[in-house]
Amino acid sequence: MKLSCEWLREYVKFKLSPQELAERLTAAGLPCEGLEQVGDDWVLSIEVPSNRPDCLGILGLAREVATVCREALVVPEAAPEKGRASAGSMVRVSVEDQELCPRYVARVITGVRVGPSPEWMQRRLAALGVRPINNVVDVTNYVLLETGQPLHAFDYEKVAGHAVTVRRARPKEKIALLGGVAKELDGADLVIADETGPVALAGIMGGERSEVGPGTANVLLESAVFLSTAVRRTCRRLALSTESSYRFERSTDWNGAEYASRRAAALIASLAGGSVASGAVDTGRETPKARQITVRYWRVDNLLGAHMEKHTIRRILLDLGLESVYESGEGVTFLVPSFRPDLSREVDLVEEVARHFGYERLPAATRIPVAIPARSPADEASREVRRRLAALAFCETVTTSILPREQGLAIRPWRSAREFQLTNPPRAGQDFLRQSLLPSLLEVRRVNQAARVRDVSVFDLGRAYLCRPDGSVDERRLLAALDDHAAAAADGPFGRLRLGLDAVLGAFGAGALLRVEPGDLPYMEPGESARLFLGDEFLGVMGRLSEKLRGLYDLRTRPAMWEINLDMLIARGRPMSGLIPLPKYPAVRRDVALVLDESASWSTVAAAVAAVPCPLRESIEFMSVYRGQPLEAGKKSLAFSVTYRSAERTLTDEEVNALHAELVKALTGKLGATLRA
Amino acid sequence: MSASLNARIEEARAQALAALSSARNPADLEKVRVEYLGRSQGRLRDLLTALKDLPAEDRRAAGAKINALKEDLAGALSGRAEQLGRSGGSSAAGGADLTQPGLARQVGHLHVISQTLEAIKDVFGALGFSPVEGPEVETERHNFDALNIPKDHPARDSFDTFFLSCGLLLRSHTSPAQVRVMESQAPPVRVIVPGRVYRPDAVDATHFYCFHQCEGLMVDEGVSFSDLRAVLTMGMEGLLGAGTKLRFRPSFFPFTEPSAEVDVSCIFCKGAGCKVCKQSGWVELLGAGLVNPAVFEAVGYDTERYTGFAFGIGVERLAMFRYGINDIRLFLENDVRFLEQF
Repeated sequence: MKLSCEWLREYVKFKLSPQELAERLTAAGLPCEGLEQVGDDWVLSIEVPSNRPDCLGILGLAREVATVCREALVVPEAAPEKGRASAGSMVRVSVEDQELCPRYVARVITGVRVGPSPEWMQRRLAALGVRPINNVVDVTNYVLLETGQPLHAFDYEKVAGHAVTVRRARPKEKIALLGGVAKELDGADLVIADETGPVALAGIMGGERSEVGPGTANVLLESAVFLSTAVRRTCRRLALSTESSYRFERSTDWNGAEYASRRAAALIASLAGGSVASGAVDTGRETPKARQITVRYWRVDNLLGAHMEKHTIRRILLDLGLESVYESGEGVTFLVPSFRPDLSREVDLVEEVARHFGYERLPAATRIPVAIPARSPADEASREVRRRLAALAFCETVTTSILPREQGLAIRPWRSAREFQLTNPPRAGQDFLRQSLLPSLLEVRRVNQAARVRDVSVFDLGRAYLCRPDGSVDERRLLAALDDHAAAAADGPFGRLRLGLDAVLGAFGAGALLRVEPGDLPYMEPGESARLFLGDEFLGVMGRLSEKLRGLYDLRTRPAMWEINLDMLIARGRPMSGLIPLPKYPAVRRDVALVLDESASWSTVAAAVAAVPCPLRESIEFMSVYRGQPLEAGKKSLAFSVTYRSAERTLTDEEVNALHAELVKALTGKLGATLRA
Repeated sequence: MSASLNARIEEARAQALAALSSARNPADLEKVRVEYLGRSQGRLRDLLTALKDLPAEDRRAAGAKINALKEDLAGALSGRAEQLGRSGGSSAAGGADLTQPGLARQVGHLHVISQTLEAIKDVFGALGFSPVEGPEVETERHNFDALNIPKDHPARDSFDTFFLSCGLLLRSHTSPAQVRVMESQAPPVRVIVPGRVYRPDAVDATHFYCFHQCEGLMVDEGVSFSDLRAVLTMGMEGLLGAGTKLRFRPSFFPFTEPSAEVDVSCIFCKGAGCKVCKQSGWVELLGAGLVNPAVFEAVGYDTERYTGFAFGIGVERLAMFRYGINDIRLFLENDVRFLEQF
């Protein structure tokens, strides 16, 4: 809402500079977003909150300024001289839908001379960005800006039968609006119609047919109250927004409709000549009862945490136009004026007091009671796995949950009864609520590929949006990692990923329960894909992106990745294990390199080791895998180290050699392996 | 002479020389020596062993080639050792080169949003606030109705929302979690709700359709506006440094009354005015206010007995301000070169 300082002075004699005024209004909750000089005048741009329709008129803003400056507010006279004819005899108004139009005030001005409006009015309108048209139309716009009440002037002679009906549009009914825009209406839209059809779209825009022009002699002036939600619906549907609809959407003042009608009629008569027919046709039935709100003094102090003087409370609320009806030592009961629909509770009045007293003058408490914050197991666990993966040189990503449909559909490791689709997606086709983090990580890979970042090790801890069989939403916490390095690593394409996975499982004491079950997944490359289990429970998937899907994600490489159900791990809990005593005696390490068939996996080797019981064997550790000369094709050499230790004594070389020889013998036998020379 | 053995000899030469030139210390050199010249398993030994498979007439020439390679490598090894001794590492003279940098290693990083959320949890944790989470797929009741945002009301305009075909929606703010917390527990309440929210905003340097907020809520008997001022002032000092000032401006949110927008003094210019704060000395970071009794009614709290405050922090906004990041799109783009800066 634009506010002209020159115009404002007509209602309140303030002594502030335009800059000070802007600051004071901002501090009172009417933020000034711009201040510009127009000729001798200054124009402020005020961002009026959606609950303050009264401030969409200069008079409403003047009331705020008057309260800020403690000056009197001058409300202009609105008493047109009464002509001989009566409005009631000249126009008939019938309202078919009282709910959508609770009040319609019609006045008639006869014998006007349409011409340009006076210079001062044109200047004020122009300062607020409204184009002057003629003295009649300019008055309706002027009074709209002054009071916030939208008005419409019809050429009385072009309203067939001199009778208007406020009714819902007939299905497919058409109207030609001002400016020549034609719209097709439906039964939810409210129109003002004469015998031959609609002459205005209620509260939004007048029709071309009854427009006031140079030839107009008699004017039918409409000032009405239209239901805000109905105006809003029609505006949204027809993609229209006008000064008028903007105000009706935020609701207008019941009493303001009648005042503005008088004010505009008087102005038209004085600027365009003519005579105002006496009285008005007013369909408003019962004036809504003014709301009464009691402010208790203690409650003000209780909410603001500061003592507020009684006279300050009274003064501010009276200045804002409230009327005191009852006072006691406890508080005051006020009558709320009809232009303040936002004031419905005691706390609303407390806010009025606070903002005009000044938020900045309210003190900050000096004591806050202590409390121990509790972090949920999920929160603690998430923090821990993040730390662990970052320690292993993975970078954390944060990715959007809304995916291009095709990319989201292609990778879905988790069962979901249905998918969630956005009806108003951010981009066409990007309407899929993700069911896995893997497409998100592949997009991260793509972004980095485009940025020419060669090596990427990333992880994401985020939600997937799944649907349980009963239809409820399962926002499942997943953890996924992706690794893509240009140079081959000694431990293969999954080595680093596996290290990360083991570190995560370790945080839940679940490392030993992991089962990797090779098997084909539709989105991973055959032979490079596995399901992960924790005991018998499905934990997730691991593999390399299939050649088939590489193009879909616009990638030149095929990254390795895994994804696991973090909620499942969180549900297991994190063991609060006691300290494992530090070993007293040294360990002895022996390395082995076995030449095996390609098909022999690490897990078969590990199982074969486990099958040789030995209480002194502490652990085995993967070292390297080698393929190529001098090994035959189809063979690989797998090197690992075995650690032996006793809790009671230092082991001798002979002892360990014997144990180790026994193990090696068993392994070569069972696995059909040979020792690498 | 066998072409393949010849190729193997030349390959071994190239690889050995490459390994030597990238050797950085005596241990590296020793590794290269063992790999190629080792008595039992060195690659040159393997090559010599392979001679026996050659036709007799080729053996001599190949043997000579391998011996030449052996001599060359030995020479290169000592040459490189001398070079290393001069240029760094533990030199023969005994000193170490303390000016030499270490070899780069890859390090992991937590996302700057994660770090910012952790900082918020730490600071507000110290003020007694427990972090809780709420669903992102929400009902209209939780996202709007219970928060006093009526249907077909212009107040909904500032909460443009993504709707799902199933009738649910993606929450447009973290405030619905307030409602869920109060529905599930009696006062006193002191929680923060960090999380992801969605709005169909046109994407530019300061808007993205998916971002993060952190909601705060404190409800008890006698919780007042002055408590809100104190908690936010301490919280922002904790996040942005001692001496950070706050400015409360009246505003309108349907779920709080009185409501305030809260500006924070610019940490870059200390309020003098700069590019970050658009010369105003202030940056708008929070929305806050006392919980509207209408919200208490929606969750069945006694509006006479309990009062409370709520606030919302824009997490990206806070992170942009803390770290001088000028484009919100960087957060969700995840360019590794961006991630590695935090």
